Amino acid sequence: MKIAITMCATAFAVAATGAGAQDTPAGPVVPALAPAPPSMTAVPLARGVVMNTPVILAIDAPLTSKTSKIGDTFPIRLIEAVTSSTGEVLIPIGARGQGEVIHAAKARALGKPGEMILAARYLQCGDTRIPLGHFKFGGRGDDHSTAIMAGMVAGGLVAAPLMFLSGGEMMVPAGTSANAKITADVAMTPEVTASCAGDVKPKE
Amino acid sequence: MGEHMNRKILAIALAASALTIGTSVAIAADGPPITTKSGTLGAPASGMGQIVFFRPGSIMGAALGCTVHEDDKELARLGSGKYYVVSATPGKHLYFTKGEATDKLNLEVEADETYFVKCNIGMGIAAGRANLSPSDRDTFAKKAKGLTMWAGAKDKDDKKDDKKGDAK
Repeated sequence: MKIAITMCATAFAVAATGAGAQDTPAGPVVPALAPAPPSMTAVPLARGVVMNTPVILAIDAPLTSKTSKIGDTFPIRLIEAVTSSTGEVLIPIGARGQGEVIHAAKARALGKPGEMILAARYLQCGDTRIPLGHFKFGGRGDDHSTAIMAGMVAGGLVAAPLMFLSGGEMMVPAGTSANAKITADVAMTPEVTASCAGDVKPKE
Repeated sequence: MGEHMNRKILAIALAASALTIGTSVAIAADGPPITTKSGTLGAPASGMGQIVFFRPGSIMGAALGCTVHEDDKELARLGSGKYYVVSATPGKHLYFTKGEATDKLNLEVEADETYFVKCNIGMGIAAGRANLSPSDRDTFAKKAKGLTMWAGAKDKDDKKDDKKGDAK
């Protein structure tokens, strides 16, 4: 299923209208002093993704609370295309980006489980970065404290070694999917869309 | 005899372990309103996020409080079966409990989002340890009918916890 979004026509139309106003000056026609930058004239900015558009991502590397540290980054990948209201693909399946570990704690003795909270940061299409947020992916491993407590109650001092049992680590297999949202309006020219798939390559 | 005892202990431990389920889940999106004993959980204030700290009722450490701190401020003191909602500015926050061991939880709050953090009293060497762990809306919703909002320093159960000892 593709995610249909409403294009931010109004916002982008303002930019297009502003540029168009220069084409009809009231008075003698004078040559432009300098050519406008290519990005201002080549493509009208009436194509893009808007803030709060939902996206479905896959975490592209296995993560575990045992080895992850706060601030570590990990690859993410778009698994459902983001399309316009007319069905045009704006961000294709496979667009890559980056996430970050917000919280990580290893499992500890006395059955305390490992924990992890992850955030999606952005998708990258050529030089264009599409910011992401609202990932809200987190959890913990198996909590063994109840089991240890039960063992201690039943076994007393004989069961003391159980105290050294740690909880389970939180494991996130590669390919795990989660939802996020685009957090800013971003213009997506056909060239930018074309540069989304596969590895990110700088513009020539 | 000793070997028989060890097997028995191991069997009990494994049986109890089977009751605990690890959670490594994508935190669910917004759903229907959640109603607790104290009312319906509201949305965050405009431009703010909110964190719901909750402590489900449990026999383990029932007499101990779970005190949540940020910086030098005490945000909530949760007895068994209590929850409290903290409004937070978008950005990074570090929440922690103190006691026999300090347990920290880093959160990155976004505007208009609600986060759920579970506090449970785990086992310690000399006393119970208050642990904060990431949770989710579904888990809170399942426990909500048994939860009462912490009423601050005037909470009658909070006073009871103070007399019996606090895990902070």
